[in-house]
Amino acid sequence: MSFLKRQSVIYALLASAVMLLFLLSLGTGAIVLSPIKVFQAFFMDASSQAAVIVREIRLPRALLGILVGASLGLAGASLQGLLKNPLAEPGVLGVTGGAVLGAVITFYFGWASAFSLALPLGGMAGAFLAVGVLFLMAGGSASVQTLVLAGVAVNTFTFAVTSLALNLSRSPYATLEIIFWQLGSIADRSLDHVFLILPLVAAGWLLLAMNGRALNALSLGEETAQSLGLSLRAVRLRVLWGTALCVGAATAVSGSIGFVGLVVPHLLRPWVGHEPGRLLGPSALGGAAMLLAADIAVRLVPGGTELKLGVLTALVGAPFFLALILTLRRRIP
Amino acid sequence: MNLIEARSVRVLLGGTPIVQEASLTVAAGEIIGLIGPNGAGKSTLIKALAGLLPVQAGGVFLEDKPLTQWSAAARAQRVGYLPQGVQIHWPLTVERTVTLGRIPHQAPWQPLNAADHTAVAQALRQTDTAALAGRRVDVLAGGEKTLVMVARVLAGKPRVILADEPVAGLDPNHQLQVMELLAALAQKGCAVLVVLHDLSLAARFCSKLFFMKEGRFIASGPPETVLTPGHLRAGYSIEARLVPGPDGLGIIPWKRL
Repeated sequence: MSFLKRQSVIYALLASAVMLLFLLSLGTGAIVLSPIKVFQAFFMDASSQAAVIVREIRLPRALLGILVGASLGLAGASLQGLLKNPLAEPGVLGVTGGAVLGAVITFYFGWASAFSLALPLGGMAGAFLAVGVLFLMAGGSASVQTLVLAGVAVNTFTFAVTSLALNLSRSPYATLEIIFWQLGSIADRSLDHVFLILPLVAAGWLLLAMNGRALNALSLGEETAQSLGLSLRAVRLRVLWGTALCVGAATAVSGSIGFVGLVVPHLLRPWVGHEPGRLLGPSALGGAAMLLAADIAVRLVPGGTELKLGVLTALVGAPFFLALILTLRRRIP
Repeated sequence: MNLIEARSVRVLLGGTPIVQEASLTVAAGEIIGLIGPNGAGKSTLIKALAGLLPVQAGGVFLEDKPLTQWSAAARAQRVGYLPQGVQIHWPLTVERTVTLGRIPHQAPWQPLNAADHTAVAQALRQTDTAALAGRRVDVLAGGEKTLVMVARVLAGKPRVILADEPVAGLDPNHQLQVMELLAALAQKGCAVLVVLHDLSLAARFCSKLFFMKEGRFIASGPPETVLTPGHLRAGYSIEARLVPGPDGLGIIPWKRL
């Protein structure tokens, strides 16, 4: 099969998976709706039960599943390509930590309960602040290693301040709220959340999608990539800001969701001949599919309390990742 | 025409001058050797010529125009750089690796066109690596990897080829193969500058040699005039057996001084 054909098949498969999971996500929950019922719900009277469930409760959730999952997958693939390291994930730059801190601060001061969008806005402010600090520390033309080290420092600091907020929090209710939010979830969000992050997420995707060729060239090392006419500085800036925009905005709404950005590029890499540039699109689709699937799974787990999305992705993701590494180890010495 | 030229080039690395007052020209059809002990500044000079390092004084000229005035893409279309050693961070196939050499000729979102396919196929053929096209680069032997890297440079159809120790670590057969390939490219009108440690190969294949020590050229000219006992003593602190033959000079490093 030719390379282009193979690539189209991969896109078609993953896109169908996302579409199918999207429909399933709209139909799954305490009240199960068939795909036909889901479809009808969009044209029903807005006050009918099915319309409320599908359009107001489950649609924002499914749309956020796509936005958050695709952002994590795309940013993960981009960072792994830029850093030439399969262990990189979106959190490595401190963006996720910044978003979590920003959101936690809105909880701490009680803004989150006063104004529903305070939480995502605080999260986005935190994410941008983290990138700003990253730039101040590492400089615009910094080497990749400096960026990663600066990211570690930003992560440590945001984690410390988040812990401080928990430590000083006077109401146990706020403490619980902070802890639960940090576990990551896309349940009980509204379309306002979707529209709030959509422009930022789209801008981030665009910046990340521009780097395919450059990431391919980087497989041969930074000097060779430069000799092929690419500006390393421009690539770094695009990946950094692209990740900050889409993952920062996504985390601001969902809380931190681990493992998707790490595992999805890993899983799909052999499908695209290990080429970092060709991994971008499939990783975005794969991330969306994985997050939708995980978000459906949390609704199917029996019991009173719904499992948090971030808990499930880590719970299933970590052993799965270990198994994956072991099988790869066995195949390639 | 001089395809690439260094005029009194001075390059600093971390504030230390590594290359000083280096002037050389490589014309179309020439294959020129850069020799000298480790740390003499050969790789640094090559990188400056490729536009990968800034030049503090003097200038680098590509087709008689300052290198800094060329756009990155136009420069990359004309100058092929083969770095020391082989770096491949992902296990791509040989064919896809060689295709990366086409990047300077591609618009950002453009799929591969007929010219790209032809250039890649030709590069694979020229380097005898067509049979490896579907193999993964990470499992190839050292010689094969080097040939694939050369093919990657050739796929870009550069007029200037800057090769940093392309035969290091290769068996004698592969060493000769790579040198014959570079000589054939020069014959077709390329300007080739190659860093070598094997003095016999330098003497046989290069029309001219530049002998570098501590950042400066201590000798330059045709191999017979550069590879003299005096220069070898001054440059490498060695004594060598010179074996003159009907078709070139053989040089065997013999004793440290």
